[in-house]
Amino acid sequence: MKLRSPFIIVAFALALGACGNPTTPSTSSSTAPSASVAAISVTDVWSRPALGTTDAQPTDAALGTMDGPTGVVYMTIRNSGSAPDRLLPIASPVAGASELHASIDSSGIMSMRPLDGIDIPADGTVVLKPGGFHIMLVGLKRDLRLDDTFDVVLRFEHAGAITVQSHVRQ
Amino acid sequence: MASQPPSEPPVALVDRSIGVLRVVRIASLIIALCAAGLIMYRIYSTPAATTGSANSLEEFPEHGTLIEPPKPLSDFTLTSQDGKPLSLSDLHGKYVLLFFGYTHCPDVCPTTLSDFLQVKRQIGAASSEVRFVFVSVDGERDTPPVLARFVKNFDPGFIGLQGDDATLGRIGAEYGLYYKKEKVAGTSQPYSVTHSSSSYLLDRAGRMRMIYGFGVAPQVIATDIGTLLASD
Repeated sequence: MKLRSPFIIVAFALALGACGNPTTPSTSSSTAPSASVAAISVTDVWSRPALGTTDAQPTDAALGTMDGPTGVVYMTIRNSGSAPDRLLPIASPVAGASELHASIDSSGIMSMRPLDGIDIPADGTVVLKPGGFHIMLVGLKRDLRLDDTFDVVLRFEHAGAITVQSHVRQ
Repeated sequence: MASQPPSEPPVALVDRSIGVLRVVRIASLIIALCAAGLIMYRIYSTPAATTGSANSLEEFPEHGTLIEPPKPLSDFTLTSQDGKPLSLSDLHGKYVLLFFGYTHCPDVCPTTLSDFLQVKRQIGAASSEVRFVFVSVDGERDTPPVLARFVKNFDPGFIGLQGDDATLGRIGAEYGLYYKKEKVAGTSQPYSVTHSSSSYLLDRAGRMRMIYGFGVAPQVIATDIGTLLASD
């Protein structure tokens, strides 16, 4: 909208440029939950530990659910099909809401941009990872403790709903 | 590692003023040479292997920036997560790894604190010589109890400070700090905070020694701190 739009475009171009290589997502870890529907496969779904509202101290009550603690989900999404697909906003029982975001680094200044969706190009891989694309969980309903797993329902424009398990780690 | 000394010393070393104790100058020279050597080593060697996790950050900076000579910083006092005031000068005598962020930040701030935790683990017992400090630029929401929960989630020894605009405005320029609350359309959050994402390593005298851009591997920071500790 303002001056940042060029950075967004550049960041997205860089992110998508990396998808030109049909790199194989790491599936070596036996703990990495994965799922595959149609041409979309999702691997290495993980979150960082975070504290939910159930742990809230009295002074946090005024914050309200939608402004409560946040969490994050990262993953690797591979589209082996010949048509592009698109990740749409997701749902998880552990959070009041979730949003798709991109962290934009412009010369050391980090900003966050909400996204309507994340394009997954045909025969391409998009990695949601620290400092880039990520899913923000808003209003965490419970703690995400180290080694916990929890369900995340992904929705794709074409592949439909895919339920995956996120693994909590540092 | 030291087999590849830099071809020429940094100019800043040659130009340093004379009114400093000789011992300090020699120590500084050794540290600078070590750091320069490390940087050369990293540039000319293959990128350090990551820990094998999927969050490889190969597009982010590989190493920090050495501040030579060390840069004195203004003292400041903020409320810490236990509700008591804490001054930067209270931490003199220890190395300080400092980051400005906010607790509602889902990605960059938890990633940085998680990296701090890995730095601490890698340093091991010597981490008692380092303080890990998270300064919130969102003091409105990041009250001491909120900060306490947030930092404790990473490490009970981490320090959270509730920043206020007056203090941050006074000291910010010394760090190149930028932050701005923004109402972002399309998010349920009342506001998001755009902020500079560097971490700063302060020496025992509270002077800035290194700046790390977001994504510098924790192993690199731990190695730098180890080098400084060894040269004490």
